[in-house]
Amino acid sequence: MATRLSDALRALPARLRLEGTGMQAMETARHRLMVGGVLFTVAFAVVALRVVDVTMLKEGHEPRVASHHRQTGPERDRADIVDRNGELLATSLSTASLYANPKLILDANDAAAKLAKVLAGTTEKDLARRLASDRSFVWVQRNLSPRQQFAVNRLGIPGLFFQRDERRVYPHGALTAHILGFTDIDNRGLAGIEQSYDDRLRQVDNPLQLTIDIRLQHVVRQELTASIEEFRAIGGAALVLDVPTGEVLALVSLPDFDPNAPGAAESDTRFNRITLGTYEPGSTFKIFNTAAALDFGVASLRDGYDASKPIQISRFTISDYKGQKRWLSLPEIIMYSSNIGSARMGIDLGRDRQRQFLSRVGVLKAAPFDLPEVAAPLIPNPWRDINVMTVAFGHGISVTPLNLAVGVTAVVNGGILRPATLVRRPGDVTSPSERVMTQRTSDQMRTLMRLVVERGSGKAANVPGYAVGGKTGTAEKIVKGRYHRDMRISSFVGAFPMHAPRFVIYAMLDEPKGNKATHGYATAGWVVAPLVGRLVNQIAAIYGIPPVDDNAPEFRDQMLINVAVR
Amino acid sequence: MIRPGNIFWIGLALTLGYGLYHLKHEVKALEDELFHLNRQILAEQQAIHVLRAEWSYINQPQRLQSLSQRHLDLQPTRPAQIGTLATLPARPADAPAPAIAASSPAIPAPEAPTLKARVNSNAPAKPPQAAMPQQSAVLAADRRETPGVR
Repeated sequence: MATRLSDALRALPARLRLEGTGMQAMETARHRLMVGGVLFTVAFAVVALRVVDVTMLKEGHEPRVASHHRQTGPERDRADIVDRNGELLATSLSTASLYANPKLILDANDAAAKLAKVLAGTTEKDLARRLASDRSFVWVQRNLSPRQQFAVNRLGIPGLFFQRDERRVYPHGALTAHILGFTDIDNRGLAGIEQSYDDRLRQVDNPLQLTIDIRLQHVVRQELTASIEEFRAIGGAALVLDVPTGEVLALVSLPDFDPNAPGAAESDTRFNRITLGTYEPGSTFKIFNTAAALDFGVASLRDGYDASKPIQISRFTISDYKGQKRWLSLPEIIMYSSNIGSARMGIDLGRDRQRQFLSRVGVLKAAPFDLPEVAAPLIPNPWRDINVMTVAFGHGISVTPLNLAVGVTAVVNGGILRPATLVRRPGDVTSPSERVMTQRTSDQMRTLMRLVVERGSGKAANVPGYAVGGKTGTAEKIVKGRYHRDMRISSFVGAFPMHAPRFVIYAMLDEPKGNKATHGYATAGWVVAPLVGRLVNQIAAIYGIPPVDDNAPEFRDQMLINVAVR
Repeated sequence: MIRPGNIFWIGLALTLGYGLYHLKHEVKALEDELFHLNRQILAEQQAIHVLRAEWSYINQPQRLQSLSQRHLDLQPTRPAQIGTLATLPARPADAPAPAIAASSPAIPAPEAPTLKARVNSNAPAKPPQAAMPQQSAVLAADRRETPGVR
């Protein structure tokens, strides 16, 4: 129509000529029409261009709305936890939880009776009480199995509803109980890694990788269990550290519990002996005392101390377990584990230097660790001369096995203290480290620790080809303020291979009892050292470490030590 | 007074209308399909997740060990069993080729010198690191030591 109208307008002047005001009105109308026409043309052109742009030029991809349906993975509240090889240690599975709206339930008693038959772990009385309450939301049971869910649906009771829920599952059960910890019914971490990395597990979707090796963890737990049974101990613990990185490869504390049902566990099984237990370390502490003496230049490998008779100080007597009753060289003091010699070395070292060195290797404060359950050591206060002497051979001070193992790692790795870690760091990020003793001290300590296993109290830990080194420690437990002669903590801390340590092993038995095979002895050399020997065998097999010839000259020279000088 | 122009415009409008209607339905069908596929993917992912947990559960070292004890004649590796190429003694240069090499056409004769050269070249003793730990680890994890072996 528009074209025809404009035709008419254009045709007008031919037939009709207007003069004056009439002609002016005609001109105005024409201009206005022109402006309107141009405006419409431009508007339609814009719409047309936009249509072409949207339909043909915009890469032709799907409209954004459709992508709202898409999701990258199953909906989950909590990330998985895997071991260093990617083996799944903890995951969250979707379940259904049953809740009720009591206001919609017609017959609470009848419903309760029916439900109690289907749902294990509920009582009719309790259900009836809850279903009859005047709220509009009550949980009936969380985390139903698909079978239970089906059974509840079949009952057809109105007022019951399901909600998608999640349940934390630990496929390996008790094996990693003390490391992973557990969560509550609402999937909040209550212990272990689940607690300390709660935020990380909730916020980041990809799995949290631990430094634990599940194969090694199993082997360690199995061997420890065997030793506990053999010596009728009430418990035990073991820790394996990777020397170069300070990573924890295995951490076992027995007895343990099933994290899938933490509520059913007795509280003492939840106790992590490695990080929470503080024990008198006994002779294993002589490692630090000797290292301090060597590092401060108080004594050299050629020096020695008189250990011919016990030391009397106030009402205490410091004597040797199997006294040699003579002057002992420093290597002999470690080899025979002489308390008298160590105490004298401690006196020479002095209170301040002893304290300073122990503080440097990190055994005087709680060890920084990835678990929330870490105890602080019990240290003597005030630190008197008598304490200097007893601390020298590991009495009158209590530290956690973690403290001890981390400190020993620093002693054998060349003198660098590195906190132990449970969570795998990306390859290029190394944990902070600091030098706490000279390389020379570390080298000397390695030969001394090798000596203990080669010729001293730790012989049973020796494995030909792997140059195991370490130190035994047996401490009597304190019962009612007195040392109890038949209740001991027997422990061993060692490393291998001693010329270039790769693994630090700590093992401990709580109240072992001697048997025929050990001639009734329950000291560390008899009960724990063999366990460590078995662990070394298994670790070497798992990581495929080829044995070296113990007597090859290059190792012999490195480990050579002059035991007796006089 | 319907002009041909009008017929053209009306026809165009009808065609476009139908085209739009048809397109809309096709898109709707595709969207439904997409939605279902996404749902299916999610369900599969969920299933994979459950299966992964189950895989981990049935791979408990404890269980593998008891299975291996029941069905296999394997024992934990002993240190003496671990070796590297470099620890093998070198074959004498003029030794006759072993019978197996001579009889089997699959193994060419010049095999012996290559092996000797490798052993003699004093190449750094590099155990097959990548494969070895895993392999022996599985073995070690799966077997319990018999008391006699220790």
